[in-house]
Amino acid sequence: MKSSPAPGSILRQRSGRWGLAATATVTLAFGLLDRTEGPFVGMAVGVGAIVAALLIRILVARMGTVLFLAPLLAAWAYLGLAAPVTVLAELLSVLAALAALAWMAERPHAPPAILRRAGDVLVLPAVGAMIALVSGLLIPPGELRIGVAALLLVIALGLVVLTLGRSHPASEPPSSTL
Amino acid sequence: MSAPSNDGLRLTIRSWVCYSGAVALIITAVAARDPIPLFGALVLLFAPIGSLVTAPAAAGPVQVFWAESGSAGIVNIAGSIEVPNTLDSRDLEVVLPCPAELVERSPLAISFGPGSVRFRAEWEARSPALLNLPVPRVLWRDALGLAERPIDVEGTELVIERYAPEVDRLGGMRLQRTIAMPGETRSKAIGEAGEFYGVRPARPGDPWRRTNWHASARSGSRYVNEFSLERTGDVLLYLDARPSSLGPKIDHELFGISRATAIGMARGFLRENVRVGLAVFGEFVRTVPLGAGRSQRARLREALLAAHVSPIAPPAERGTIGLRRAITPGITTILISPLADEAAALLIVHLRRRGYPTIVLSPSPIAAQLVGFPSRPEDRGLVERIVRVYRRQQIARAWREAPVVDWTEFWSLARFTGFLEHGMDARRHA
Repeated sequence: MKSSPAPGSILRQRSGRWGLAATATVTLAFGLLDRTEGPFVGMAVGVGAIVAALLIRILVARMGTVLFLAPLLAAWAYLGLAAPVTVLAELLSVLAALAALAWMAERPHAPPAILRRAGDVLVLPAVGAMIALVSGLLIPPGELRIGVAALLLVIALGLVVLTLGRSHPASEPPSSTL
Repeated sequence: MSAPSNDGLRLTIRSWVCYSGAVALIITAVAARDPIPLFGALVLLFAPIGSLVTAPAAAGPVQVFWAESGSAGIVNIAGSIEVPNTLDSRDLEVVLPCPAELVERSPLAISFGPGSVRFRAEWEARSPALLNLPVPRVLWRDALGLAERPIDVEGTELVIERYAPEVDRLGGMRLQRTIAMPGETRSKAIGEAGEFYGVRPARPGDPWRRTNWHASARSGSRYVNEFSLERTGDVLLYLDARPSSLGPKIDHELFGISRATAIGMARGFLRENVRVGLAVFGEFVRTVPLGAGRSQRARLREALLAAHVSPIAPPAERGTIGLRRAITPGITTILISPLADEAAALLIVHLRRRGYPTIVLSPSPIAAQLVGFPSRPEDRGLVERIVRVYRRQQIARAWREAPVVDWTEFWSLARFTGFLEHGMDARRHA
């Protein structure tokens, strides 16, 4: 039987070592692709985002393990625009998001083997992103297609919100009458 | 008892943060006409759906077994949750918030095992407390914390009782008797607990626990045991639950202390086969008639757990109207009241006039009143002196009607028990 850690290790848990390492590695690699201001500026942006995310995780008590995504998102948006449109940049964009989600799973008082079980959840987004990546390789890029893809994503998002905003049918209580 | 949860699977705030981030990336990509941020957005959009896909089809119910331990102010809660095979214990989150009356000594410790989740909470009561802990909430939550589903929990509520230890010595006090039998002879009565007295044919409503199975088998009809009660007297615990000028916060705090002490006293008296009754005077008087035994203790506890400070302050006369119907006059009455206002002392007058010899245990509000008061020592000292003088006046005014014990140290009832051991008459003569 494994116990949840002592209060002394809360700080270490809030920082989340493995998620931090993965996110930092991918974000720094993403920064190297900066062609607008150069790789050093790209890496500096990445380092700044990681440090800001880490500080938010440590300093903000309850919502820190969620709000830390904000500086990372800002960095990815910048790095995505600064990097040339290549398969490597798209792959790094996917990997950065997956690493950040894994980092989000590493929260204080999390049950054991949390990262391995987070992997089960991340299979679906990873597969979805890979399908999109492969499609991107086969279809030549164009501005119209980007707009259509974004529109489809927004529609999909709206449908998901509408569907999940309601109660799940499987969890409705059984009827008290026949 | 079960804590039903009709809510279904739902997304947590983490999911909405993911969606917000995805929307921001999509807007950036469209505005800049660059596809790269879209790939990151795709992952953030699909992650909550991945969480929902991994959710178990059947959720619960789970069974909780828990108990409390500790003495004086220490409250340790330990328990385990038996998880069915359809659920992974590591996906469960136990929600057990610390009640407002207690202080958390260390965070809730949770350990996961195959088919069970164990939890342990360490709290502390700063003053006597009586409270009902509801069954802990259990949530299924995916590894990323993006989706959750409440799980039905089967278990019993936990009652926490913490009071001054001197209540164990209350059995030795002299109480007024309700029977016309002068002298030192102990009153005898037939009841539900005490020494075995005999058997009689069962009547409707007799509990099965008292059935004499041997006699029933011999006679062919149900017989129950009777017990001879040895009582030293009867006692009425009277709680003043009216709001006062101290304000709702202090009223609530002092009433919580009074409630906890009342259950402790009831326990001490019932252990000595004393019949105990209860009256709580809020907007109206709610009574539990005199009784003895374990069932009476349960009745008293239930009534005390349901009692709260009334939002309306009724006139003091109402505190005795209808009391005689439920409680025989002439028995020792312990009034627990902070005596914060002049109206509170009027209640003693009415109780005495209606034939209830009263002793007042008055929890002092001074410590609560001084919390958060001016930090300058000279100001604080001055305020404290004024409050103490006013309090002394209130006590002196109440003393004209009945003996009053000013209760300042809530973890000790030594002054009160010492007073009772000498007896009201002895004190009066002295």
